[in-house]
Amino acid sequence: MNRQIELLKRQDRKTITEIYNEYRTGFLLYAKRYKLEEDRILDIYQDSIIALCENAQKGKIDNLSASLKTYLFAIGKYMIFSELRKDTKKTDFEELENILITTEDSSETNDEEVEQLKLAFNHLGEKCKEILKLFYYQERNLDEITELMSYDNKNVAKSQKSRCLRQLKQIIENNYG
Amino acid sequence: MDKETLIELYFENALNSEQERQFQELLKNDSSFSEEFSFHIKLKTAVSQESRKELKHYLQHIEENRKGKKRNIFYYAAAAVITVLILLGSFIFSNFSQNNDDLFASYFEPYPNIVEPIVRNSNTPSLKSEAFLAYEQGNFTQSALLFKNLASSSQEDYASFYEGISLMAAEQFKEAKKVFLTTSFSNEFEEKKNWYLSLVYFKLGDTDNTHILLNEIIGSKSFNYEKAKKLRNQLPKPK
Repeated sequence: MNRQIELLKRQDRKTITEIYNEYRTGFLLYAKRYKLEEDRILDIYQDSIIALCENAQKGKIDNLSASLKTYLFAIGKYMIFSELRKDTKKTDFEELENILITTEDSSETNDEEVEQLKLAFNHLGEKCKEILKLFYYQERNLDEITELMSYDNKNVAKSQKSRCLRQLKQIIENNYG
Repeated sequence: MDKETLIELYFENALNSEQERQFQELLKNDSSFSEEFSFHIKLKTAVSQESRKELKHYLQHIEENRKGKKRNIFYYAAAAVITVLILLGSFIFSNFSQNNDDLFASYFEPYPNIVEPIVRNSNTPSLKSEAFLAYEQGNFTQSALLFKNLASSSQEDYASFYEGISLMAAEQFKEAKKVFLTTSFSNEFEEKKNWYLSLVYFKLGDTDNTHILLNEIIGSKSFNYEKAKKLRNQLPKPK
């Protein structure tokens, strides 16, 4: 596997920064033809990087045949198109299905429970945040988490996760119960 | 199989067909189970949105730094022109200042970040991580300010230490001197501070204090005492 993809999987900040800086100017030039404001393009570029990281984490580009740049720009193009087509609601998903697997909307929800969970999550200690992030966001299984967080064995990771979930529920109970 | 493990396996995408059947069964007929499951789904959404938001902030931060740098380049260019003019002026009187600058440049190196490794995942961008990020990216005017805030809010001595070094890198030597002299440092940073303070004295043309401090460093064999020896030999003797 490409070394950069390997590092992206671990959310390595140095690699993310490198990639961001390496392709930024090219992306701006490329996106200029779509007549969007620069701030909007940069916003899209940032979202493209996030999608790239997420797809890497989920193992969806382990066997990427194209270059990382091509892949990143394809995501960006997709996002620019959906931005441009926001009004017409006509998106050619078929063509882009293989490129952009992460289609979850990153915008805020109005679900009150989700909002409570977010607040509670931010009240957790770093260790707990980390383990929940690995499990729910990066979709790592307990074996991988055991290794990544250097737990002695899977049972320790499992009980640590349970403890964090109990804490989370307790915080919600105390604040909203 | 207990319900918690079933839900866990669901998220690991690892239910076998028997477990899958049991899972669907419970979802249909056990309201506490479906409630629990829905909690986990919502938690996944919440954690994902928060993680994404954090990453987005990080990227926006890189962007701000880039824009800051561009501005800095302009300032540096302006500063460089002014420096050249001053140097040319002072050259007429003596070439000491030129030598001084070279000498300083050959000894001054910002102390590496040993407090907050940037590559680590920090869950929420804190003042601390922002300060070190700016520091590592060479935005010293910004990092000086951030460390100053950090020092006053946390009372941590490393914050003042890095504030001082940021100020030096931003060529604000008088301010750096003030920070170094008014903070009480723990052992870890005290001896390192002395080395940097000696460079500040040197840069400010305070020959007496430079010698006193360098002698102290050499005498106690503390941080960078070998360099201190070399520097002392290159300096004009105190009057």
